[in-house]
Amino acid sequence: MTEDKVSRREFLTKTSLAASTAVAGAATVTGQVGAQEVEEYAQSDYSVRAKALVSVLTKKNLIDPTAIDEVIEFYETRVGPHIGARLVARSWVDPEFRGRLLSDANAAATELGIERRRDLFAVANTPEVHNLVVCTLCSCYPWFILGLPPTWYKDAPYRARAVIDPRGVLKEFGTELDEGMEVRVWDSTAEVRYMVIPVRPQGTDGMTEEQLQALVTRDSMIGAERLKSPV
Amino acid sequence: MNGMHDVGGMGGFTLPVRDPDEPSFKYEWEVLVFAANQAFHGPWPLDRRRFALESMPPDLYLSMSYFARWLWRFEKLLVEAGLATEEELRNPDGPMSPAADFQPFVQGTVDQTIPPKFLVGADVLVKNEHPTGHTRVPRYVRGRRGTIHLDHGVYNLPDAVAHGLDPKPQHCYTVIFRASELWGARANPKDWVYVDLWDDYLLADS
Repeated sequence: MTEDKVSRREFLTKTSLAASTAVAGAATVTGQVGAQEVEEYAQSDYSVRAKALVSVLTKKNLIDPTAIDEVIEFYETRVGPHIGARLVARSWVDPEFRGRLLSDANAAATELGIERRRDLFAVANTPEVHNLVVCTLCSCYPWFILGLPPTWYKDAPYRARAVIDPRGVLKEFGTELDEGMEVRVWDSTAEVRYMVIPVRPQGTDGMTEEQLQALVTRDSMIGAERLKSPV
Repeated sequence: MNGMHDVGGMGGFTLPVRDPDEPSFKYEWEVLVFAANQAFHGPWPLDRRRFALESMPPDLYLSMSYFARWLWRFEKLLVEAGLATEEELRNPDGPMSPAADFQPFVQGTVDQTIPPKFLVGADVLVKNEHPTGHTRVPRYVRGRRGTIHLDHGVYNLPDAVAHGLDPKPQHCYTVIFRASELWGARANPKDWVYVDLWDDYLLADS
């Protein structure tokens, strides 16, 4: 996102070039205009308004423009699924750690030096049980160990269906569960954030903890997929 | 409130194709909106910001992308709090009035010695309430029977936090529901749904 950073700086200095034209353009959208044009008008309007928002906040000294860059830097480089993968890989190689992770994920995260901004609770997949995490009301997500959520996690279709048809969602996402398996859906409606510990894939016996970390995907820690054997 | 945000169990949506490498942002303006939201919490607790989205007209909610809703919310809250005017947001190169004074929201500590109303293993009934303000009870569990599975300790009730009312610290639990209790015959009898709920949302089911 290096190019983005350059233009972001421009955003902060050259704001709202075409505010009035974009809004006027959106207002003239009629049935003769195709969906793509409507979408382009909308994006152009949002872009103008987002720049205006930051400009107003900056001019009124409500934010320091460098704070914007700090937020972006934090989410781009510091948090991501590599953090959750450390918890998972350690739980695969150290049964005692696994026990601590399942009974007190907050302490287990602290043990690995992971900075935690929310309460965390870990649930384990087994050959017989599959866990799936959702937030039906908004977009609660353990971002401090997984980074920012994917769009599908935040949008209505997944939130609507995960609780009523988890097996159908998983099938469309590429994972078919046996009828005899138990599915547990965790709706993150309150203060605790949930992570799934996926089943360690077969054929990974000789791997180091670092190699195992690389196998752990973001979506497997949401429960949206089960990890496949790397061999 | 019974807003469009409360989608659990709705039919008719189409799941997107899951892309394991999907970027966090599709458009550059989304980065700005996200970062500004993280950099400026203003006078609003998180639950007040959630309530702003919950209050969106349903057709508008569904027609806007995630970060477009955040942009809409940010503008609305700034104007409501007297921190900016609509004219300033439309014309940021024009005259700018000073922002109104505000108290940043500070999450106080809660008393962890408050006793729980329910013990792990207790059967509970979710109250069938439909408040007009903020709540964290999804509609699909109201009036349904479940069992206390975990006690997470004491947190402030979001229904009070969102509206600046006196804090209501109380226990928050994970309640487990049989999928068939929520969804009837279409559910797989082996499946369960786990939902986090506060004391005030629950009744003893004896």
